[in-house]
Amino acid sequence: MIFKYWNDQCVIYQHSSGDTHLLSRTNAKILELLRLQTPEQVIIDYIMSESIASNVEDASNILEVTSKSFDRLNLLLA
Amino acid sequence: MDIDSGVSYRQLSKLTSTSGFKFRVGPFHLRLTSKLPSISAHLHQHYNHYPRLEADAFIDFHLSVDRRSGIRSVIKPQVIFALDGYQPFTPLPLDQAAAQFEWGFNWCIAGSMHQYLIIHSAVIEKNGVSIIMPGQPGSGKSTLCAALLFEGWRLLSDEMALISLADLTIQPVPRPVSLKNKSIDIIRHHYSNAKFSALINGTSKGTVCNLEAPLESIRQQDIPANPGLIVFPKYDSKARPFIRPKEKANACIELIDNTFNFNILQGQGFQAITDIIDKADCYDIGYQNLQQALDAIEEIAGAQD
Repeated sequence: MIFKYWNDQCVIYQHSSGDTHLLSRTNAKILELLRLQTPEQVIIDYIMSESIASNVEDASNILEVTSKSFDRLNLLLA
Repeated sequence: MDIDSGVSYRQLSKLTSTSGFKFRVGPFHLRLTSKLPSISAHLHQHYNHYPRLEADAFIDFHLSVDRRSGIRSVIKPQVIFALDGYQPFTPLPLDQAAAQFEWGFNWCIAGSMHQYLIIHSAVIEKNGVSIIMPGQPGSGKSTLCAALLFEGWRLLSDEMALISLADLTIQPVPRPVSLKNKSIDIIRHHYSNAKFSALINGTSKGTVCNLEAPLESIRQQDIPANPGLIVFPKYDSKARPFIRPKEKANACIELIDNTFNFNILQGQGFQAITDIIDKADCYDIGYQNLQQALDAIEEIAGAQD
């Protein structure tokens, strides 16, 4: 994935699908950090799609969504 | 670059119907064969002053535009466009031959020239300031582009911005400006010295015609431009006019939506687009009439000087 930041926004390009996503800077930073910690691409794609679909706007909500995603996948967040 | 002095209609017609008319538009070498008088007339009016090619020059696109054979050569005659003998489109009515050539040429570029990022947009330049104007059909970009040519702007393209992936410069491909429906009357009304081709009625886009590309733009077709401004025009006869700086992230998404070959270039295309956005200032403009659009462009460009 490629993360490109301008001001308070971020455009993300996903190599696997060729899709692009527009996120807030905060949400993108969180996802970028999660990606570094969790190597499995399929997990990252799942979390990203959950976050984008739920249209979360603030950091606390995205952390909550992310935790639930990991729970559903029976994984522990490091 | 000197423009070609051109040949007579008779000479051009003979060339086109035999060995082919060979000429260069921007970086592209074409050889066009046709026995249709309408094609010869179109070439004579619009392409007679482009650089001609040597007999043994490499050709990018071997094109032919000819009457369909068989019963359709007589009953409701049709025209067929071919690239290297391959016919990619369904035939059109014979009187749409010139339009078929222009659309076919667009298709050739968009379908194969992936050393460029190809953005659906008009591109103009004046005093070193270039403007890329992306827009979907109906946004008014072609009308605005045509008008700006009469206001001292150089035409790089009315249809596609070709961005070199090597150095992000904009490659000029100045060609006749395609206008349709109301935009024809708007330009004709504003600029009495505008030179048009004959109208072609009943196409899938309505009534279309071509405005001659300025000779000076053809003369400068080997001079690339650097990205400077990206302006997203929007015509709305009922909305108040506006000029708004556009968030770069939003401009990036919209530029991607207007890029013909983004799915082919993938990550390289994304990198090129983000690099262009980094270099350029981005704006949205809304306008009710042509003069408001022209004023908005001059205001934005003036701020760059």
